[in-house]
Amino acid sequence: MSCSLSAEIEMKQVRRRALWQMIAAAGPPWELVLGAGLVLAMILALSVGKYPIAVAEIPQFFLASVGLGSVAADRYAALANVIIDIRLPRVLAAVLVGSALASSGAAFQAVFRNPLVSPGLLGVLSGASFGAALGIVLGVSWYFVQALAFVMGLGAVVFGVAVARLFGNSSTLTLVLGGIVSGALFSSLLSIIKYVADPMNALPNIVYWLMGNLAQSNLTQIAWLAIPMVGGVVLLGVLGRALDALAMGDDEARSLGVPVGVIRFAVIATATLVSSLTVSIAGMIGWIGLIVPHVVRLALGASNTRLMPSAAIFGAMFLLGADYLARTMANTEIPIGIVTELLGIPIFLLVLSRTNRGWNEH
Amino acid sequence: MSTETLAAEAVHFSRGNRAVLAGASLSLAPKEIVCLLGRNGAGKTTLLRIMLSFLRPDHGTVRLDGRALSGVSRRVLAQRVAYVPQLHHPPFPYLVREVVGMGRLPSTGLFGQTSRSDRDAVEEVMASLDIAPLADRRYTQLSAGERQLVMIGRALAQGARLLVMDEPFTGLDYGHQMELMDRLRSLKDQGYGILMTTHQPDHAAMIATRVTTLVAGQIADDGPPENVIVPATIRRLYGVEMHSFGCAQSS
Repeated sequence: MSCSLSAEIEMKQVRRRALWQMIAAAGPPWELVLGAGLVLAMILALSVGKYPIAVAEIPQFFLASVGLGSVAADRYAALANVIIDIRLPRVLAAVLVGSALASSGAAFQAVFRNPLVSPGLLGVLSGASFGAALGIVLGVSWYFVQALAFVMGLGAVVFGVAVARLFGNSSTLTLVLGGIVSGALFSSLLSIIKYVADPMNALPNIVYWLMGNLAQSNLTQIAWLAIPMVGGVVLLGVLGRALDALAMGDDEARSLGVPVGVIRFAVIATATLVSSLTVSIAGMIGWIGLIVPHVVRLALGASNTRLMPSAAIFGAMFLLGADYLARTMANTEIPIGIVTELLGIPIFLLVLSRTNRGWNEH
Repeated sequence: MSTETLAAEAVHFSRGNRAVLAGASLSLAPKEIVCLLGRNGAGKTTLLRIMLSFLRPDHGTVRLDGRALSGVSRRVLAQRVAYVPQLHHPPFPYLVREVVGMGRLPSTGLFGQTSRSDRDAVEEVMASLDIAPLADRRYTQLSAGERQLVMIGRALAQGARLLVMDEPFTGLDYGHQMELMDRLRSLKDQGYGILMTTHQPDHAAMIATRVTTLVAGQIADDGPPENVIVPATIRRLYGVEMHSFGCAQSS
């Protein structure tokens, strides 16, 4: 009875996948669809806000700014102010943070062979928050704050993995446990920083910024952070086949000619770097690194050559959508970290119910 | 040294102050099935891992076609010698075609693109093992016997002629064990060389062209099954008397 039921479910899945492949084969390639979707989402995001701008005006404005077509001069000035100065930093921040969190989450999951880890669960975000808050309290330069965020983020991963190793094996559960311990440690260190921070200036800044807020970076800062973040996301993207081999096990990856130690170190360092830098742009934004890879895996399959770039693009779109809700749900803006958590929990439960068959190892 | 052989020569390996291997020598050539027998903890898997270059021996060398493995790159080795691991569940639901396709990694390199010839090679391997109908199924949802064939498929897709298998029969029911033996025999007839560890002397008797035993860190026996799988060897290996074992060989 149950056997025939599971066979039926299996057949249904095979049929659905065949249908999906037919659609995929007939339509344009998935990279193009996702890329076009991202551009569309960015245009929509630029048009949303208190000052009304029609969606069609956005491409017109950009075309006019490179000399194609024309927009009335006074309208052009108004658009330039709203689009370039106010909304573009925010949209670019959402794209950078969303893609960095999603692709580093997918990379951590592959390299630790564990579908339950993410930058948040491994303690990276807590570590980076502690590092950045420490930098703010010490009053060091902006660049040094970024460096501290990365160093402490890496410290949190190393500590979490070390705790997991302490228990002898590297099963799914012990690594999650190690991440929880590491996250708790760096959260409490962060509390110490908050406790000693100046309650008039530094403390409100730290608290509001950590709740998650995409509007706090200017274009120059974003441009600087975009260099390592885009570079890291692209590097993780081209390592897809190596990540597939690593996800099967160290010995198997070695037997397929993969230099396991080098690749693992490069992936952990890169994923930690890009996810630590999201903290300095937008504070702690949870759940994206965990759920976006799962959603993309359900839609496009487990292969990392497809998963890594798709997760990056889908993560960017997800955060643009969450930012839209954060800006429009209430009269005042809601911190985006709260929105992603509220959205992430139901999505994660949905994904969990669809995929947990593969997780029940033995 | 003949060509196309993988040979461990007087390999020593210690863990802490316990000597796991103390001068073990074992070779594998095409067109043979070599079974490695030994007690639990005798070091069978350690010897395989050294021969696959996953571990470095303390003393002694492993040679591929007469060249020391330390001078052979992982990618080149992967195109000559393939590893078929014990059955396991990977945490992600790869399709069968994707798992077999990972076998092309040594040929294309980490950053290379798969070409049509790579995809054709994968389809060909799946057809030869009769797993083509499973191509779009998830590897994680297959039965143990099917997963074992997919792992062998990945090894063949590497283009390697020598296969090293860690307890390939563990976890399979009797019917699947017999089917797998037929597959391995036919691979041997096609010119593949297979080295495997097993806990079942009767499997070795049924399938091996050569049986070796690992005792006290050294290869104690190395010969045709009818010479090695005798009551005296079984007693030395496992400490049990096998009076009726002859009936398995009498045919």
